Amino acid sequence: MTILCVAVVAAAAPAAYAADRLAIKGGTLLRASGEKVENAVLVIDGGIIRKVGGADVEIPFDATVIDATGKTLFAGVVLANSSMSLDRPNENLPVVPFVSVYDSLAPDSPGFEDALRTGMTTVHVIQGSNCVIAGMSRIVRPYGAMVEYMTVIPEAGIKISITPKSGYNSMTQMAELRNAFFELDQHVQQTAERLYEEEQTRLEKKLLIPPDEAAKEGMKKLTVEDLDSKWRTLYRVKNGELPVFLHCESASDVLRGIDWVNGMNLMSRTVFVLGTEGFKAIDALKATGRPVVLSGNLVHREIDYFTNKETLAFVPKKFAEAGIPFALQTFGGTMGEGVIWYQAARLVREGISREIALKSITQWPADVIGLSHLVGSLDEGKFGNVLLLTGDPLDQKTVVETVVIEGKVVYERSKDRRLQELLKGEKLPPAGN
Amino acid sequence: MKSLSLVMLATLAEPAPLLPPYGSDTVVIKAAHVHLGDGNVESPGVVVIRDGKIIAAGKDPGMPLGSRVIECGEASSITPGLIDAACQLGTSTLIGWSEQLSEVVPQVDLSQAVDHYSRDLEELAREGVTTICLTPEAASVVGGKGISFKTAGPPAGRMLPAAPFVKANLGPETVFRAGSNTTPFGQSVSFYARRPTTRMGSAWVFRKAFYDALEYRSKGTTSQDPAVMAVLAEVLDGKVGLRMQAREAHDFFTCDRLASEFGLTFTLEYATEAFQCLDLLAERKIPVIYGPVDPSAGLSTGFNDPGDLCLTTPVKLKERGIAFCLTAADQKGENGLCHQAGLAIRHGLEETEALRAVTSVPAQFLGVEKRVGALKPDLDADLVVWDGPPLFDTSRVKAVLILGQTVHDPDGLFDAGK
Repeated sequence: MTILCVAVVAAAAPAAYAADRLAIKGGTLLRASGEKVENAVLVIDGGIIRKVGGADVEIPFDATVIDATGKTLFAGVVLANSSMSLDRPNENLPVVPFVSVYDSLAPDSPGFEDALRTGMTTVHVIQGSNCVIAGMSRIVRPYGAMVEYMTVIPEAGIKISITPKSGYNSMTQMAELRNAFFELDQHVQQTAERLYEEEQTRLEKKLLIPPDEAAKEGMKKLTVEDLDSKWRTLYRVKNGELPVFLHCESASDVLRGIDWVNGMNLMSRTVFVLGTEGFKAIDALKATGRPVVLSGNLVHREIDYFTNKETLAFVPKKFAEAGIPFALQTFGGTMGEGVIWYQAARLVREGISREIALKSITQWPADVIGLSHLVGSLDEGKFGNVLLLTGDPLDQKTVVETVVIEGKVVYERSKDRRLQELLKGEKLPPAGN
Repeated sequence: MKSLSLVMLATLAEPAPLLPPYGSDTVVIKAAHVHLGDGNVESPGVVVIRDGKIIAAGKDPGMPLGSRVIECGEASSITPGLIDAACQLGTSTLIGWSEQLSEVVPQVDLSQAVDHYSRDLEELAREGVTTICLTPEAASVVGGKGISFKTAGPPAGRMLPAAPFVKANLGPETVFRAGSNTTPFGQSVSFYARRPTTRMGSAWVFRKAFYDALEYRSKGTTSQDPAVMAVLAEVLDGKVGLRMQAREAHDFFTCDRLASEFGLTFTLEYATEAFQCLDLLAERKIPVIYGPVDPSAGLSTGFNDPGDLCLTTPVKLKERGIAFCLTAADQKGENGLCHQAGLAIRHGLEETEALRAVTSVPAQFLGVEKRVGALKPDLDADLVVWDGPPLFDTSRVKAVLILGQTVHDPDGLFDAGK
């Protein structure tokens, strides 16, 4: 009977993301390093790339074959920090570790549609930076009608901001941040104490030890489920179980952030999400050895306080020169233009190598979100997230023709009605006619 | 002696162009590709400049002895300086150039509104935009006179003798500019509340102004401001050009109808929905200053409805033989003129056409083609050196010259041989 129940529940659950065997052949596979495989064959099975190689790779007889002759095969773009589709990126309350973007994600948002159009296959959806502590983030594929179906990693991390939330200054921001963890500690302490007391009562023993020792005893039994749901996520953050995306807009925020993270012993879980000015603390950032997400604005502009002269700095160049891997992000795109590609091209324009430019939209953001073993490059054992491009990824005229996510064709330019309307300049008859 | 005095006489008779004293060194600039601006490319090519002018450009025009040679390097390109024919940058940031004196202000001259030291102009120059036409603001039904000038170099040499024009606006901007059209509390009807509140009102203001001008022209007197009427009469006589700002297709028809009533021809500015009335534009031979491609851009002239978008509009204009150039309006940096042209290329416009649309075509529209817009002998030495194909996202502006002077040269390319 129990087994039957389980079976029924399984059947009622939404269909998992799955695709049949797929083989892509005939195209030129391009890696971020510049390495090319002509006449490449990619075999994807169960969503995973099983084989990558030249024309000699055997294609399974039952695989659906895509002929990519004349096309460039490139890894799907990874977006490491985006509030895509959230109805509002930030909360009014300063400390909300108990919320989750799950409740706000809109699968039908135009943002996801545009993400596919520009070749994004993995998007880390996280709240904005106008917060002290924001809620749980989620890594999704920008494809599907239900959040469950889109989900790659359901609990991906949390945003904490060192930069003051609007209406705050740095002192109130840090006070609020410290206070949140202080309150968490208090709650954990009280819960542990209660657990101990409850157990002693159950065992009909007397409570002979002082409260702090009782709490210590209780801690041995405490699990995250014993806590009030309001505190569970933050407790996991504190224990280093969740990545922290630490927003630091200015250089002094970076230094404050590094201090705070070290004090919390969370450096190994921290990703720095920087504003344009963050590069000024580049030595301190480099010393942490942690990855960074750069602002969507690539140029830092500063007007000298005394002389009123404007100076410009091209931020990615500073990181490239310092040898720090970085992820690019966008604030959403102009329609018809792959802004993330523009950004990568912009890097090349400033003299940064093509390899770094291409890695900053694939491999490095994959590192940032802790998924470099699954996404960010076309290697055996990784997700079958493949783009079919009309040419070199950074060429002015190259467009995304087909997007494959985990072995499933999820986007074809020729069937992109909105884009076709924008290109043709005439309204197409509604779908189905 | 006689010939010498003749030369002196000639010099006296023709006032010297207002140019700062440049060194008279001849400079030969060599690049992998030289885009002449008229659609032709020489690879490899050279541009020879002297005294702020181009003396030769092309494949191998021969090098004068003793000249400096600048090698721009492998894959480099030289193009004419870019020209934006309907720019909205370069005015004082505090009060801008929106004159609220009346709905009809063709007598105001935009040269007083330009801040030649503005950061916008510095930035435009760095991006390779060497000439802009500051277009009148859209707050008035008939705005002021546009002016054309260079974005860098000594201010005395910046102004260009462009064909004069006034700009009219029959779209929603005049209505929306003042916010609410109510009279301020406790005040009588004033210019705060004077605006037309619909397109009908705008059309009426336009029509009345030109009827008054017709009357002024025939009678020589007017009950209106004679300064205003004098300019409008010049527009009627074709001595001063007319531009119409409109983004939506139905406004183009209004523009055409009203202009036709007075026998006027005009150039269309911005024209977001140009793709919807190609027939009108082609039949009536209306030149189009198109852009920016992003319909949400160009907000500083204020409008409520950016209109429908078609990414291939430049291609369609080209195919129908409609004269057009590209503009970035108030956009610079990542959305500036270079990127607008880059987007046009991305969506199918040929590279040489895109370059023409930001160099020689706008120069013709402005009537300054004898000074800028191409790499030809006797034109100003305004040029841009790129490290790759011009206008591409991956290409960097290596150096910018205006009147032969480097106004942007981060790599010190032009320091060589000095």
